[in-house]
Parts: sequence; structure tokens; C-alpha cells
Amino acid sequence: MPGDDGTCAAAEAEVVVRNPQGMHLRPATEFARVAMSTGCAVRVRTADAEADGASVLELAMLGVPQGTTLRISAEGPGAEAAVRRLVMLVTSGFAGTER
Amino acid sequence: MESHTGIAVGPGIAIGRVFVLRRDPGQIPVRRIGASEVDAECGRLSAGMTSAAQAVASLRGAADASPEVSAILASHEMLLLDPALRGSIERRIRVGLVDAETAAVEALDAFAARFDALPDAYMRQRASDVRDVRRRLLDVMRGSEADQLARLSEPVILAARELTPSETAALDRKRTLGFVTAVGGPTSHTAIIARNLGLPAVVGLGDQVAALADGQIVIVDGLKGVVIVDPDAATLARYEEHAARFARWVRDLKRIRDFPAETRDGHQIRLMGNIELPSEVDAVLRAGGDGIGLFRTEFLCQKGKAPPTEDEHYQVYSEALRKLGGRPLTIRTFDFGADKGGPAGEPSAEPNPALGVRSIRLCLEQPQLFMPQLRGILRASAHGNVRCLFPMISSLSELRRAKELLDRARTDLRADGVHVADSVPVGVMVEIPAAAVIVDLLADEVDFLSIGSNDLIQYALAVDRVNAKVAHLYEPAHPAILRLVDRVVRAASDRGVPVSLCGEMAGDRLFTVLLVGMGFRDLSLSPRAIPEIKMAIRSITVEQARRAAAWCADAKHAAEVRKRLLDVVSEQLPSAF
Repeated sequence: MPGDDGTCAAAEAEVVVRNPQGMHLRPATEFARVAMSTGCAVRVRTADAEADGASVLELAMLGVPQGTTLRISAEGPGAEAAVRRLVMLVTSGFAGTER
Repeated sequence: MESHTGIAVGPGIAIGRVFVLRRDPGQIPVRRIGASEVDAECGRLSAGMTSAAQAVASLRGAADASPEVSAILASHEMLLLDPALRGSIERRIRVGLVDAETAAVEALDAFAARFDALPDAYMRQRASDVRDVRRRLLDVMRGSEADQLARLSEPVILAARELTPSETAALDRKRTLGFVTAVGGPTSHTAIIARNLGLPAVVGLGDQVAALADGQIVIVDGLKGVVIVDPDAATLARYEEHAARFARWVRDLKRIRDFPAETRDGHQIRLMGNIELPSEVDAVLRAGGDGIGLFRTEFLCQKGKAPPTEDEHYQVYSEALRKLGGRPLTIRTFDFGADKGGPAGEPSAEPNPALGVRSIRLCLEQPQLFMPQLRGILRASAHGNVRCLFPMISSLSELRRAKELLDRARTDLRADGVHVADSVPVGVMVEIPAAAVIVDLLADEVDFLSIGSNDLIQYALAVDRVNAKVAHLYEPAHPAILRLVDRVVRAASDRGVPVSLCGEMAGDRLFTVLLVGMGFRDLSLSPRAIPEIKMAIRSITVEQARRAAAWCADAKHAAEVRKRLLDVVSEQLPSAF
């Protein structure tokens, strides 16, 4: 999909969920909030399932335990930065979810 | 008098009359709509979801919402804004030609059922969050029903089949003494909120709750998970005293949060937190900690991935420093191996990993793993109080090699014009018995020492504490351990080098008096344990502690040490019991 600058704005990356309880409701909430704020279409895939990154329900329903590898992809302007932010969020154990 | 056992989730004891909450089962009539009404129904749905989300947001903004309650409500807000949920409800309106409420109930019940079917017990309990969101949405869309909770006139113990998280959050504390529910588990949101509000609660009582009648006297023992109905006079008197003592204890722990960890004769002890993730910095500060005494950094490595880049190290450390605002951040360099596995998540292939290429040995062998971390630490040092801690040092030459690498990283960074703090204090973990024996040599070449008591005990006593067959031999009070620790403290104090202890011993109040008496003025522990250890410190004098430590130093058996310390704890320390 072409971005604002006419280039193809799509990106993806893999990240492992580190926090002990996996991607339960609170991390999923934080993830969906950030995904929504990027304005990109964000998808999250595990080995056997897929979720809309902006949907806390679908994310939580993936039932992701600690140690799961997530493949995060984004489409739209700023896709690269969006994926980077989301990877950082997962890597940091969803820092800020305690706020 | 009858006694029932459930799951203890809310701390403390409540005694009072029971009020049974009976709720409208929430049956709603299905209204069939025509194709021409579909858009209007979708519009009503959209307005309902938005205003329900706003209602949750304002509840969350209330001044007295604790961080946990606020996080739960944040989840509910996101559920109400969820595009997949809205899509699913709209499809049901469009395809089933039913009203928005009916479609919402169907969609949310379907999601709740899918949560119920998840293998993870914690996630299963999230079904109650989905049901809570359902109730909230229906309330908004149908006009709020009279809330039984708001009509309570005297303080009561609430009994219900289940309390939803937002109902629990909206409870009027002044009129609620505690609650009991038929369903719910130890990690349900209701349980978390109960702990947060300090409301005594017992959940998972099953059918016993249905047998309760309004006005019955009930004791809720949220510490043991026991509910006593119609207690006799002796039981009542016993529990009243129990409740008063517990309330005092909680008040005292809360009261001292912002007080220094200072002994009665005025000696300050610095209490810092042990953490595994940057997000835990907040928990340490909330508990009244003075900084981070042990930041485990293994989380930065991802399974099956290349080691983290210098930038990733730098970002994570800088973020933690920003939250700490000048308080120390003690970064322990990578401690892979043994039970922690390798940096790429691989299990060790060595026959005896605890004695193999682990921790600093691995780092010294793999500069591509170690150098980015050292450079990240040094770059972050420009933003705050960073200390660098090398784990598993067993000899002077290992320490020197690690320090050389740190110096090289500093020289390289400065050559590139990168700002680095003038001095980054360097310390070693004393966790191999050899390090404790040559601690005088090590102390001459470091800025601080930190005793890792977990590994020190494991190596000194040759006990793998995760091996159930020998775990009972793992014993912090063993005279050999006390002698090793004493040796370290003396060598450190002779040289004016600060020494801390960061194992589980530091968070066990049985040992507080001993550690203070041995000379520790720095301890690092789990954030959860900070208030209780601070309380213990504030209840003793250094003089008393020295006497206890001197006595323990002469003891011949761990059992004698434990008995002596237990005597001190029961004589000197305030307690819930």
C-alpha cells in the first residue's frame, strides 16, 4: 500500500513475549491502545492464529503465554515506526501497563 | 454457628451483617428489526459504546482510583472501543435483523464463552471482564437500573454470586465491610481489587452463598479464606481482637511508606528493589524503595534472536533512570547459564551447567554479547545514577578483564565524542564462595560489593534448591553462610567499600535483625517485601541487632540461629498476629 510519500509503507518484525503472564488482558490493552494510535492497520500473528492489533479481544483471545513469538505487521504511513514502537512495548514487558 | 471455606483474596477480617445482592438476571426481550432500521441500530450501538467507554474513562479518572483499578478499567474502556467487537455486533444486527442490545449480548456472550474455554486459568477469569462490559453497555443503552449498592444505608458484608470488577470498584467503602462470592478465583479482578481496597473478601464459596439471608451476622476471614455464619460469643470476641490487630498493622505499614528505613537509634538502612523488567521500577518507588539494587537484564535477549543492540540497552536503561530521578540504578550485566538458559533461550548442553560457562564467563568469551551492554550502560550513565555490577566473579583476573572491557568501551565512546559520566561505580556480586574468601583482594579494586545470597548458599552448601530431594538442605542460617557473609562485611568495612545483600534473605524479616547487626546498611529486595522490612528496621536498635548477630555467630547449628532470630522477631517486631 503506498504511503504519503508514495513509497510502499508496510513493515513487520518478530518479537518474543517475555513477561511471566504472557499477553493477558492488561498488556493486550496497552498493545491495542498503541496500535490504534499509530493509525496503521496492525496484524499480530502467532504460529497458528492471527489478530487485529487494535482489538484487545482478539489479542487476548490468542492466549499468548510467555515465550511465544509474535509476528507484528503494519500497513500504512509510518508502518516502520509503528512496528518498532510495538516491538519495544512487548520487549519492555509492556512497560507502562502498571500505570 | 457454621463455618465455610473458600479462597482468601482480600486481606483482613470483617464482621457484620450480610446483605445479599440479588440482581436482575438481565434477560432482555429480542426486538426484530427491518432492513431499513439496520443503520439506525448501528448508530445507536455506536453511541452506546462511545458513551459507555466515556463513563468508564471518567470512573478511571476518579481521584481515588488506584493504579490496579485504573488498569482494569482501562481494559474495559479498550473493550468498549474494540473494532472487532463492534464489527461482530454490527454483523449480528445486519444479518440477524435484531436490535443492538440483543446483538451486543449475543456477541459478548460468545466472546465470554471463548474466554471460558481458554487453557490458561488466568485468562479464563477474564470472561468476567467481558460480562462486566456487557452489563455496562446494557445499562447505558437501556438507561441505568436502580443500583442496589447505592441504596445501602448501613455498613454491610455483601454476598453475591459474582461481583463484576466495576461493581467492586464502585463499592462505597464506608458502607461495605467486605464481601463473599460464590464464584471467582485468586487472580480474578475482583480479588485484585479487594486486595487493593483492603477489603476483606472470600470468593469461590460455591452454594454456601445462596444459603445466606439478609441480616445474618457473618465473619469474613480474608486471611484464611474462612467465612463464619452466626458466630458464638467466644468466636466473635476472638475475631474482634484479631481484626483490630490486623487493622493496626495495615495502618502502620501504610504510615511508614514515606518514612526512612531507620533504626530506633537513628541508623539509616537503604532499601532498594530487585527487578526483572523496567516496568517494575514503579512498583519499587510505590513501595517506598530508595532505588534499584539489582536490575536483572536477561529479559533484553529474545529467544532465537541476535543479542540486543547497544541502542536497545541504552533505551531501556535511560527509561528506568528517568523514572528513578537520581536514585541509583544498579545494572547487573548478563547472567545467563544454569537455570536461566543461554542468551538465545537455548537450554545448556553442558553436563553441569551451574559449574559451566555461565554468566561473566560467557560474557568474557562473547564480546558481541557483552560490549553492546557495557556501551549501553556507559551511554545511559549520562542521564543518572548508574552502577555496573558484574555477576559470578570468582577471581581477581576475571574482575580485571571485565573492568578492562568497560574501560575500552569508555575510551571508544569518548573517542566518538559520546558523553559518558565521569565515573560509573563498578561492583561485583559475591556469590561464589571463592569470591567471599578473597573478598579483601576484590574489595581493593571495586567501588561496591553485593552479596548474592541465593547462589552463595547454593554453591557453599552444594545444594540445588530447585531439586526437591535436597531443597531442605538449603539454609541461609547455616553457620558456614553466616561466617562467609561476615567475612565479606568486615573486609568491606575495613576498606570503606559499601556492601549490600540482594538475595531472598534480604526480604525475609526473620533475618533483618541479623543483617543489620552484621553491619549491612544497604539491602536490595523484592518490592513486595519493602514495607515489611522497613517496619522491621524501624522496630529495632543497632545495639540490639549487634547482640543478636554476635549470639548467632557463636551458634553451632542453623536451628539455634533460627530459634534465636524467631525470639527477636516475636519480641520486637509488630505483627499482624
